[in-house]
Amino acid sequence: MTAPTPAMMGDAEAPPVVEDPAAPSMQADALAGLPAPTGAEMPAHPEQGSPLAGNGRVEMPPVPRADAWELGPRPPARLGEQRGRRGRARGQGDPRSASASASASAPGYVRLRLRLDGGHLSVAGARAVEGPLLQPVRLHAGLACEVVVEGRRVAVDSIPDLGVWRALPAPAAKGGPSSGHRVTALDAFDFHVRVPRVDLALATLPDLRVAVYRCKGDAPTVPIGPGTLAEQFSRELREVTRIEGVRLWELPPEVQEELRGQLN
Amino acid sequence: MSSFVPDGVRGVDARGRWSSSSARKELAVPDRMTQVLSSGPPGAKVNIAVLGDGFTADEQAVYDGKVRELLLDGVFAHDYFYEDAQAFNLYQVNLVSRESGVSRRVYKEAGAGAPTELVDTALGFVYNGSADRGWVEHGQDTAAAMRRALDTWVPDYHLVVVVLNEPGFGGCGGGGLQVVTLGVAWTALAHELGHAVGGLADECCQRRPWPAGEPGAVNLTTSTSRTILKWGRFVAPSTPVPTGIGTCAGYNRDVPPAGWDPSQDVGLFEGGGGHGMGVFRPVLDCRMRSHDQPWCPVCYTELKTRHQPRTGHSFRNCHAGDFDGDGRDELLVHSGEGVLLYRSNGTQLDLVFSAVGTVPGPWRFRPGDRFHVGDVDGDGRDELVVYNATDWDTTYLGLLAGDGHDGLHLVARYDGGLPGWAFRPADRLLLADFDGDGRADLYLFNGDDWSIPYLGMLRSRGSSLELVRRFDAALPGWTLRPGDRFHVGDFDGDGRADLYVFNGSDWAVPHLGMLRSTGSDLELVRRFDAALPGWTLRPGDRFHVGDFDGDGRADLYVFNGDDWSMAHLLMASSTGSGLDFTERYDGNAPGWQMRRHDRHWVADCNGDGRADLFVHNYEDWGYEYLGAMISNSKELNATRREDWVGEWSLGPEDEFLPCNYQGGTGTPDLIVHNADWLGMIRATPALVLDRIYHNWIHNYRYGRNW
Repeated sequence: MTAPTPAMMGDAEAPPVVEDPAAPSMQADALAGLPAPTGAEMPAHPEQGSPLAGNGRVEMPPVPRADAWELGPRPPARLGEQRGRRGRARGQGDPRSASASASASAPGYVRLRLRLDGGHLSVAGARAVEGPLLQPVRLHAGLACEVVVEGRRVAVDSIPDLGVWRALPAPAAKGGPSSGHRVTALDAFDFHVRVPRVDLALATLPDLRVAVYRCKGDAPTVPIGPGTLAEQFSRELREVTRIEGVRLWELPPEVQEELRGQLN
Repeated sequence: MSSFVPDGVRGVDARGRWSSSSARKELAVPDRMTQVLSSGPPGAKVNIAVLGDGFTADEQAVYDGKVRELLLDGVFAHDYFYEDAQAFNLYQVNLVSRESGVSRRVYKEAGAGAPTELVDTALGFVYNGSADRGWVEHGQDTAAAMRRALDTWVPDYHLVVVVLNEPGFGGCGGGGLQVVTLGVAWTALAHELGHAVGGLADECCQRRPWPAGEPGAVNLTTSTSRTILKWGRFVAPSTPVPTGIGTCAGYNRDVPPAGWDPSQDVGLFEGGGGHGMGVFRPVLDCRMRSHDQPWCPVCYTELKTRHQPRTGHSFRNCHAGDFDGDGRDELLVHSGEGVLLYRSNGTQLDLVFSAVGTVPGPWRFRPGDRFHVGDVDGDGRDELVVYNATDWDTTYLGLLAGDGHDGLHLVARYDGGLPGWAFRPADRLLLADFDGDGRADLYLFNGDDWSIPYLGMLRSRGSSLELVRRFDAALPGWTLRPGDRFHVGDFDGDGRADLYVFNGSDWAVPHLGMLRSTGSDLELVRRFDAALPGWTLRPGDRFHVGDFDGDGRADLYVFNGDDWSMAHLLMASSTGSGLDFTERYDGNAPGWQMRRHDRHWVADCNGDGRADLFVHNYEDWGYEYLGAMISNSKELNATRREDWVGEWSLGPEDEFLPCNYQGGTGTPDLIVHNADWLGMIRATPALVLDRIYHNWIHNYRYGRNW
């Protein structure tokens, strides 16, 4: 094999690149003439329908007689949806089955409901959801939330538009600019963060750390890397609040019940 | 699952809020949920749940209509959300209320007393009709009722939109909830979604100064320096910065250039975020200021950037075809569960159609869809034959055509097969007009899934297909084998697409056959065993069909980079009944040194009616090369680019799609694409880059998204 040549030569007289000197030459091969027949060449008069030996497969059903299919099925005028997704269990597409049928072995994630009330962050509930979870690769302006379990970051997300309540402006003249919202800052509000199901269990709640950050100005431009957000974006983020471990028995009974029902 | 209404103490609490017990009683008409936009698993998408409040069983059609008006025909039928609908799932929950309308509360301006007209509804929202009081209030059980409904009907949600059966104007939102009445238009909801899913700030302004500090939102700034302006990449050097100063300023620092677009030309205008002074917005007017305007480049780019990963969009699967018959090819980009269709104006592409999930007919897009482009109905416009053998329990073949409004719809679909041909995963499709009636027909070959190989000829009847001939195990003079490779071309110039078939692996020697189409059958014209004129056949031969001498007969380019000491390229011209030697290049063609990993695409690069070759090599040299090998009927002359074509950095992931996006004759253009980038390259015949796009196709008035 010839080593990669740095650059192609441009002119018509450029020498051919010999890729493999040990490989045969087409010129020499042509001079040698055609190979002698071995009996394994394609026959001159092949037969229709001769099966290949021993591949264990079946034949396609015969073509119907012309008069049978010319009047036969045509593309139906009213078609239903395509059905039966390959590799999917029946009923898997039903959203109502999502949380009910989530099991420890199924892929999925937990939507953790958090409450920020007067600067105090708490766990307010959880729901198990089936299916893959796409984790963000960048932070965006606004608030960001990070979930760490047993010292390992398991989820991060940006949360737009949190902590405010806007009233629609009264209708402006047609085509004119809006007069703006009446905006109220909220003392208490809920939001969600999504954690892969395999990374969050009842047993690890005491080791759960959740931190909420505020982007000081513009969002960081670089992708989220390993390490905590605080380590990576110390200049861009300011911590708003955090949870350091969750003691299940200290939560309201209905939240305890929900966590027990949704976490492994 | 049924809807419930309070059963027990009802009324208003001490603060005038709706009060009820948690005990519920079933209604006769059940609640239900319909996923009206289905783009993929909820964990990979932005999920919007829509709930209705105050709609009785008889009024569910009103609710359905408003959801359609607001979201499907409104927000998701326009600009950004139309383009990126594939990032979103929409769950429409029909909650049946016992009584019609919503509770109303009237505040006296003096603030004393607030009589409430109670209505028994599913969620218990209260409408007060006052912007100063936020238009809408929660009832005492509203938050819990919403959570129950969401937990019951929606697997996951990032945003909840509640539609109230209230004719007056009003709405409020924030933190993942948006409440609107029937009096709200889709443009206002789109603006609110700019906050809710884009983190965008208002660009409207009032006569008050900005308090202090740089806003976090991408579409507001306090900076007036061009060099550090956060949206500076969209501001043309000729635009003054600031562009407008003073309270809620327009363009007042100079005379606006002719054609200045209020929403698409970017500068720095004072006023925004509900403040008039000390803070600046990017454009005169955007959807974040006046709801009726389209998104400005800054807001659009922020929405795109945030949600690009959730769209699943990629440029990997591109297909070119003239679907509207204007003489220029459009570009169809298929990604997972959706397609995007772009129209060329000769030098750039613009979005004309976006479909997620299903197009009417229906055809539901899936990742395993394979597209083939051709004029199936002979109307001068291309159609799409789409085949899916991997994503469903049944194999489907669909025929998609333009709907006359820049969109696509299904004309015909075959589920599992059609009379005489049962679809199997290894089916290989070749679109070609084998009967010469101007309509693209279909050759189907399957060498792997049955006990014998089959070749079928499926004739197009415009809007349907019919099997006219099936060959079981053998063609005339040719024994079918799994390793057969078919190539279409009208080698005898009679207007009917014939077949070249090559087998280099299943016999003692390689064979090449020429099979003429009679329109309803095939005839063997010539079979070559082991050699063509001036060429020894080898398993690694790669065939490219094209009329390189312009005589109306499809000739052959044969390339072999694997089986010999050097790469060879043959030009073999069709006589109609055989092949004549025209030229052979051994290791070097004028302007192009051939190497093992050269890849070729047939195209008429200079529009002279002769088939040329685009050629790419990224593996064998220290640089990557792209060339155009131009035929003068007898020989080739190549022009090439090294490493770059304009701003396009040639690389190993690049795929090339010969087409004609300029209009005119031939196929002198190339769409070059990989997962993240798409370029438009024109052969003059020297290769020139017209446009380059990153992640998405958008033509900014100035600047770009990288």
